[in-house]
Amino acid sequence: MQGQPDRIEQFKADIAELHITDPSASRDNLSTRLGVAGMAVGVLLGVYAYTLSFGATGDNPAPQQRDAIVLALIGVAVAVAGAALYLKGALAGFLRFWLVRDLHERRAQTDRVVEALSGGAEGLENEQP
Amino acid sequence: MTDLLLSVRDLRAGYGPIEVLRGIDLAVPTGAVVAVLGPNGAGKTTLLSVLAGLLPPTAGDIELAGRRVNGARPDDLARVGLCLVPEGRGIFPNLTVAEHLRMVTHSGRRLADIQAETYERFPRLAERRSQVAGTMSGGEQQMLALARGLATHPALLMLDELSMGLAPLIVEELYAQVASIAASGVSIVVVEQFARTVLGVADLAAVLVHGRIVAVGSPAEIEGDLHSAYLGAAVQ
Repeated sequence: MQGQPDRIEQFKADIAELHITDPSASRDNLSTRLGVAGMAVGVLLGVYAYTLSFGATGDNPAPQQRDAIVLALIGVAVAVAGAALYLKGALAGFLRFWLVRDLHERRAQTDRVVEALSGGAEGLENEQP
Repeated sequence: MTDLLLSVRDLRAGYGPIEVLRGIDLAVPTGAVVAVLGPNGAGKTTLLSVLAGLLPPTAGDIELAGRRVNGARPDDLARVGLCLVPEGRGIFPNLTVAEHLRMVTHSGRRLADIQAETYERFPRLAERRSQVAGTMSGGEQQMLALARGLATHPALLMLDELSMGLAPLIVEELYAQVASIAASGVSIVVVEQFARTVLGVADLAAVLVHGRIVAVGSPAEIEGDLHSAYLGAAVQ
């Protein structure tokens, strides 16, 4: 039977290897997919509106054409909203990594400055009579 | 610095619009027994559900062995060694004791080893091995629930209301077992409404009232202030 200290070490190792889905990443993926779907639906609505308008016949095609215009405008709105959602999802992941990298580089820079200052201060102390 | 097996910071959770946990901070050192006390409706069971991954937190961090585990699946957490013995025992009333233990072999352990360990720790279960769990007494069912959890060799054991519906003598017997389990090095979080018995085995105690930790300290410190903590006088 595994001793308890071994069990704790095994637990820590298993936890370190555990695959955990980041909930915010899954929201960004959903946002991206909905955005693409929105853009596709918007374009399709526009095409459908065109065929509706083109197919308007009879003595008074105006009502059908008006319906086609409304449908086309809805398509534009859906496509724009889809584009916005897509950008939100795509940028969120990029900006998250950019922020982490920026923080890492600033910390590294601060460490270099501190090290340089400490080295300079020691040099001055050594030079003093 | 004390090695923390479990660390919770500003944890919030609830059910839809109802927030139950309102910013919990809790630390469980490795090998320690931490008692979480509180009246009915304080959020004790919700806290354990969140720690076990059964309920997602709405805010805050849960760290196991130094790693943030928010969003981890409950079956993954159980597989790595976090075991929850739920309120109400969670046993299958139409399965026998032996069948319950057989279920634990999914973890890769041999049935013979599981049975030997269980029957040595709980001789009463050995006598009842062929008995259907639903016909056993409350205390025996609780032993079975505890045995089933221990058979997975947990690193962190969480017990929810071990004493619920049981006679004081049985509760004492069960907590003697909890002390023995703790002595073997398993870290334990035990949630209880009735404080006196659990404070005898705990290393650290926290009082949870209305979703907030209102007091943390050694069992001796907490025992003296329990009345005021429950009734809210300690809340400023």
